[in-house]
Amino acid sequence: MRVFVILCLTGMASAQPFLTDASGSAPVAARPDQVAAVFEVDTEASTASQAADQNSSRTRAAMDAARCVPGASSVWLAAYSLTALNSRELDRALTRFRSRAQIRVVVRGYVTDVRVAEAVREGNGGMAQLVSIVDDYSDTTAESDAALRVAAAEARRNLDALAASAGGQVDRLLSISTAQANLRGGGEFGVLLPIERITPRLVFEAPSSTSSYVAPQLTTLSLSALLAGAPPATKRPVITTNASATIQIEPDVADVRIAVHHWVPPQRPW
Amino acid sequence: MTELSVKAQAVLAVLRRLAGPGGEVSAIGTTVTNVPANASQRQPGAFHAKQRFRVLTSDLANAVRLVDAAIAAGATRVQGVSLGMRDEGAAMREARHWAVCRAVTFARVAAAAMKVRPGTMIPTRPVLTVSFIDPASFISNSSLQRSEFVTVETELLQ
Repeated sequence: MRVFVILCLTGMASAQPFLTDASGSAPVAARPDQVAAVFEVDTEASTASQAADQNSSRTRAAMDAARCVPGASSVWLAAYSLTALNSRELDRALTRFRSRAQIRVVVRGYVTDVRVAEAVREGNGGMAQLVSIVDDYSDTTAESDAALRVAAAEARRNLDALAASAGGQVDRLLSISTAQANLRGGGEFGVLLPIERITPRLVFEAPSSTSSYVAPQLTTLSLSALLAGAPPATKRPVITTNASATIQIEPDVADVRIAVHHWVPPQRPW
Repeated sequence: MTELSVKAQAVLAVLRRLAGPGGEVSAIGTTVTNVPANASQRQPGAFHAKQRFRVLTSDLANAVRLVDAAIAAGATRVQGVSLGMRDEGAAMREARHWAVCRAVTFARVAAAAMKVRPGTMIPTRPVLTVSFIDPASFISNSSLQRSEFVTVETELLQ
């Protein structure tokens, strides 16, 4: 497991350092257990209503077909938009409209399983275009907590080693902070990579066609501590953590933005 | 401005008629811009006047009909139709709740690993950062997901 370490010592007006910082990191060692695919339904027509109506019927058909894919656990509308294609040309009538819907489909299985990938790819009734299909994770809570413990142990070892190298020992912690960096990549199809090879560098260097299986997150834990003999801390010790959550919403309102432009050509001054 | 006003009134009337029960129509900006024909020769240029409208309607099925009707009445630009929630607050509170729960769990796991105890959440700054996907982003697709990112501070007891 690759561990990233940041170490530093701060001297306080003497040769004896009092404050020590260290950190450790570990990737979340989760194995993907589902496939997430995004399909797009794109329709164009000469009126907004026609574009939207065509899109609506095709989207509905694609979603119905996706629900029949073996192992499909969820199918939902992820995004929608309607735009006028020549809306930037002020002096021309609006004659072309595009309606676009994105459908997200989650299926149990692995993207490396050709049968699953093909079922997902074909499972839109021919109504939608596949945008992406990647490995996904249903729940990484336990793996995230385990990664945090690994990072904590590493950070503590680094802290003690740093204190020892400075000729002291850790007296008390001033702060613990955690952070999660998202390592997810994207691509058409994924390949299974050994967990030992998973590093942020690999994620960014991997070709887009083979980048989908990566650890979902890198967890980092940072420590700050006072060494024995240091003056009392002036700040209250804290643990700082962060997290994010995303929920699906059920839209109940449409927001329509319209503008009227009027153009007066240059007038002769005389 | 007079000619713009005539066009805008016609569009506004159509939008109000078709917005449906509970629909809200608002004028969200008027601008007049002088575009110099040739700045160095100080020649007067063209004038460009713009009136923008926003309609919030619960009639999702017919929202796009508004666009065609407004164009027929004189609208010259469509800045987009996006879907969202009239009251985002409940969705954001739910997302924030789950984010805070997760952050607190991280604090407990981290504290246990370091053999210390987490105290109470420090109330002054339970949520430092909120990220929010704007439901009215025009050109790009409007996302039907809402995300919250939170930072939580908890007392560290030793």
